Amino acid sequence: MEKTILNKEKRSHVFTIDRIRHENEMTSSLIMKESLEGEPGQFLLLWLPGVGEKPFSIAGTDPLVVTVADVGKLTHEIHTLQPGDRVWIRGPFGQGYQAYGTDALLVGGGYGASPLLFLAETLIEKGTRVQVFLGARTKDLLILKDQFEELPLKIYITTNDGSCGIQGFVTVPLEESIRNLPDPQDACVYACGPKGMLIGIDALCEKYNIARQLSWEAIMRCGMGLCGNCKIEMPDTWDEPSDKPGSKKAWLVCRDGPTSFTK
Amino acid sequence: MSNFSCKLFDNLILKSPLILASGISGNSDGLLVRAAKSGAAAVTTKGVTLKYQKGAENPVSTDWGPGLITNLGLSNPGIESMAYMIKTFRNEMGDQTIPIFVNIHGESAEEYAEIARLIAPSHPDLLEIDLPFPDETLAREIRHAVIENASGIPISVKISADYPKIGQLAKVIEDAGADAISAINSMKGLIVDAYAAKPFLSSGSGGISGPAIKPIALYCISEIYQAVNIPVIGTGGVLTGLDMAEMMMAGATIVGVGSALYYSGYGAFSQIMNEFETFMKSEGYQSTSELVGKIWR
Ligand SMILES: Cc1cc2nc3c(=O)[nH]c(=O)nc-3n(C[C@H](O)[C@H](O)[C@H](O)COP(=O)(O)OP(=O)(O)OC[C@H]3O[C@@H](n4cnc5c(N)ncnc54)[C@H](O)[C@@H]3O)c2cc1C
Ligand SMILES: Cc1cc2nc3c(=O)[nH]c(=O)nc-3n(C[C@H](O)[C@H](O)[C@H](O)COP(=O)(O)O)c2cc1C
Ligand code: FES
Repeated sequence: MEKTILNKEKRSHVFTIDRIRHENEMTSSLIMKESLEGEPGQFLLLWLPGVGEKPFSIAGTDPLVVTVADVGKLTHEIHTLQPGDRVWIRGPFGQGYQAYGTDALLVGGGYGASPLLFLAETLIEKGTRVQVFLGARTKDLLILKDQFEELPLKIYITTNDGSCGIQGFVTVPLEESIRNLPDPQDACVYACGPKGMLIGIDALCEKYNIARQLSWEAIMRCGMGLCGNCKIEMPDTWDEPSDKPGSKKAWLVCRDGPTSFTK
Repeated sequence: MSNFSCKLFDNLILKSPLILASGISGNSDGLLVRAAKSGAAAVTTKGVTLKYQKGAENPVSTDWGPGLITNLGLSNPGIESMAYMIKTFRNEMGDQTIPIFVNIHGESAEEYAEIARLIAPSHPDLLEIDLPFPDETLAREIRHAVIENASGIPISVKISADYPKIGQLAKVIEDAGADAISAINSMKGLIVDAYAAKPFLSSGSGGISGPAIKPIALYCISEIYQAVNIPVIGTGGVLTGLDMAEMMMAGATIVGVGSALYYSGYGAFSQIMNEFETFMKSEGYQSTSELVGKIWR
């Protein structure tokens, strides 16, 4: 690899696209020539000069991978890029996922799966037993299915319309697997996806008293804990740490998160 | 903990000299509550305008090494929502009365007067006038316009270091009847990305804050301290308890922090207070008033 960007270098750096992997009709992964230090669950800010700068999960570090769904102005522009084109990236930012327990259940909704392949690889390397649950509205919105299938893990697919895997929500096979865990106290659910899905998973984990790490989304502006734009309220099940008074009602996704940990 | 209470005015005493400066977390009552619960002795809202302002497109900020640059395009919910925020903040804080300062921003003396009239019924503990540009006549006009409408709420005028005769400007503001001076605001700057051959921020320029401006802030505060008899609310690059002591010695009665929340999160408040306490003890100071303007006494 050409170079590693160190944590302390906070300004944007130029990255060059090496390859592009098409995940589905609206999602592609940019695989860079360079690497970036970072953990699964952390995010970066990607800038296209003259267009804008937005947060994306780190989907791989060596080389750096960013998986982008085409939903608006900047992401649409990103989808016109070709190998050899350059992007500007700063990061990593935020609190990533932490390894916890012998069994890991990874749940991704739509492009929310983007940090989870990297997380699965990291956990497998540490000897954790991994199961993956991918959910989407329809088959064409699933991502990374083939990549997950190449790893030594168990994978469950659900679509709302039944066009692939089981018909329904990811929480159905997830609940089944939680029930079959050898020791729920020695396991953790890791989830990334839309807010509604996270709330559902949180409630399920509360019911079975199982640890979970959820990655929250918000519209970010500064990404530096200054503007307050990414503030969210944490669910009732989340205990406010004593060294962060007032954080339950005013939790900054860019700074306290994006991942939250409930044990 | 020792008693570090600070008298800003006869009827406004803070539990310590350390407050939240304007613009950081200041668009949300929840975040202002968090700053207060984390140890801020008073909190300041984001600069509020008559109407809601969406603000600038990303990128709006970056850490360029020696300091930060930000330009959020004055995004704020507008004066009506701000009035509601003040109420919610006070409700949430309950018995723990932490003063709330409202930073206001307009384009003309008339606009400032209107903002002051609309916010006065919420009785903020202080109105901080964010001076759009450092002009003596404008400062005087705005001050008069606001005083008419603020129903006795104390007023501070916030100035930036861009004015060459900052002591003189402060004196004009004092003579116009201001109760305090806030200094300094962030300073205009520009960050260029050479590979993109473009300014990094979408708005082009932005405000420089953090450690990069600390010596400039200390200079301005000491100039103002020598020129006026009203208290100075010091801001600019304070990250540690020692930084705070230095700023008070230059002439600040109380000290605001903004960028420190980027460097240390909300823990900045307790960290700075712990360091400050250690310094006060080791140097044998009994009260904060001993420090104020010490380098000139
Ligand atoms: C911590 C974090 C990690 C993320 N990781 C990824 C990732 O790995 N891959 C990926 O494709 N996307 C990710 N996102 C979402 C991504 O930031 C948005 O899709 C992107 O900002 C849209 O930019 P745009 O200019 O294309 O869209 P815009 O033109 O700004 O908006 C298009 C639409 O998307 C909505 N939107 C904008 N930003 C967000 C957001 N942050 N969350 C939800 N909806 C939004 C808008 O309301 C609008 O409806 C992440 C967001 C966060 C906060
Ligand atoms: C993100 C951000 C927003 C700000 N918004 C305002 C504002 O609305 N009104 C104002 O008077 N000052 C504003 N300021 C200036 C700060 O209140 C403070 O004076 C300046 O940043 C210097 O202090 P610091 O180095 O501790 O950040 C802002 C600063 C930052 C970093
Ligand atoms: S995006 Fe500005 S505080 Fe999180």
